[in-house]
Amino acid sequence: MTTSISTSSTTGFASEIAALIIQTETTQEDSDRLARDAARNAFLTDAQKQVDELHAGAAAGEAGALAGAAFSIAGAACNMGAAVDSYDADTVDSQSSAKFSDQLDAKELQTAGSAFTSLSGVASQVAGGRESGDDAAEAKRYEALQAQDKWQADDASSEIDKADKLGDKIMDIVQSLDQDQNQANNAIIGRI
Amino acid sequence: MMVQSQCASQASSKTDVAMDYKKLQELKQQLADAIEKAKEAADHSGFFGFLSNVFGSDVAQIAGAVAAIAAVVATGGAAAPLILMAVSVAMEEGAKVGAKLGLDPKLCMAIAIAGAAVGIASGTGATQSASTIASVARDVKLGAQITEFGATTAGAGLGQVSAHYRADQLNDQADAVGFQAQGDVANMGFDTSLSLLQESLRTEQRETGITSTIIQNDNDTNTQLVHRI
Repeated sequence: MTTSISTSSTTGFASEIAALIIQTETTQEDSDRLARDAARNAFLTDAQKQVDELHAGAAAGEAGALAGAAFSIAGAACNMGAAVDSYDADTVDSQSSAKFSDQLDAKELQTAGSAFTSLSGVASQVAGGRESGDDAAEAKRYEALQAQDKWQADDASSEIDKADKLGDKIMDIVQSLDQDQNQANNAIIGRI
Repeated sequence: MMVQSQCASQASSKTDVAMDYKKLQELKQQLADAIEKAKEAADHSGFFGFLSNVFGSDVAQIAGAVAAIAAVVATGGAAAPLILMAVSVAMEEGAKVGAKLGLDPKLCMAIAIAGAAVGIASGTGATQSASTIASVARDVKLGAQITEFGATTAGAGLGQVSAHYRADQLNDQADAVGFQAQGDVANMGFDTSLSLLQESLRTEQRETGITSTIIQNDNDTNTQLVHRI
């Protein structure tokens, strides 16, 4: 787009130049405002995602702990049963068939107990421990994105401030030029 | 008219500033509440975690050690008193060596006490029949094993309670992060409203200055013209 600049007076010329500069700065400022608002919205969105990931991580961690505890308790219960059966086997008559049965039960329960106890760590990881770690990593990623959004918003705000200051400066110059022009006009009137 | 327009703009900016300030105060309060709740949950989690460790680790280990000794004695038969003496000596030495190697002092103390108890039992055992000792040892073994697995169960249960409070703590921390982020955005909005108000005031000042300059210039011109007439 081309805009004609009048050459009738210095003040008019300066005013038109100033108006053009201010117009350009205003357009740039509008663009910066849009960028700043977009960066702020992105910041809020990323913050919400980070919060969601942290909540998910907490829930996964609790689920993992629950699974681990359940396996530990099951293992302990089996081991307790094995101990009781073993005691029964030790206290009954050595020729009795019940002794053999108790010994067998004790062995089976002990095996099951050991298996449950050994698997408690794995169950904890599978049920949520690993997911909790992933969620924590995702939350960290969103935190980094938030920092980036904040920088962008701050940059846009700085540009807006700069444009405002430039606009003020230009307005001051134009005002000063107008004042000078008016004084000159008055002086001329005085000389006529 | 221009000044009137700026006044309207200033009033709007002032309302924005007041609203943003109120929102900031509310968010600060919510953030403080979330942090307080997270702290309480952390305290509960730590307490139950400690209990879980005591039951699941210390008590269970000591009971397990007692059960193991009782098992040796129960299967020792006629040699039980000799085994008891050997175990007693071994445990006392083991406690000393363990302490030197940096083993948990509580555990070393428990081993030493158990060793002394076994020593006493071995002395008693010398005067009693082997079958009686074996029978008592079986009872002790069962009791110790039930204690061990009961403690393990209690430890696991308490660990779960601790994990629940830990999850509460993490949830409260997550809420705090959310409130902090909202506070940051509210702060940015507050700054924007303030700078808009500042800009509006500057513009009003400039417009007033321009108007007064124009009036002064008109007066000067009129004065010059009057002088010339």
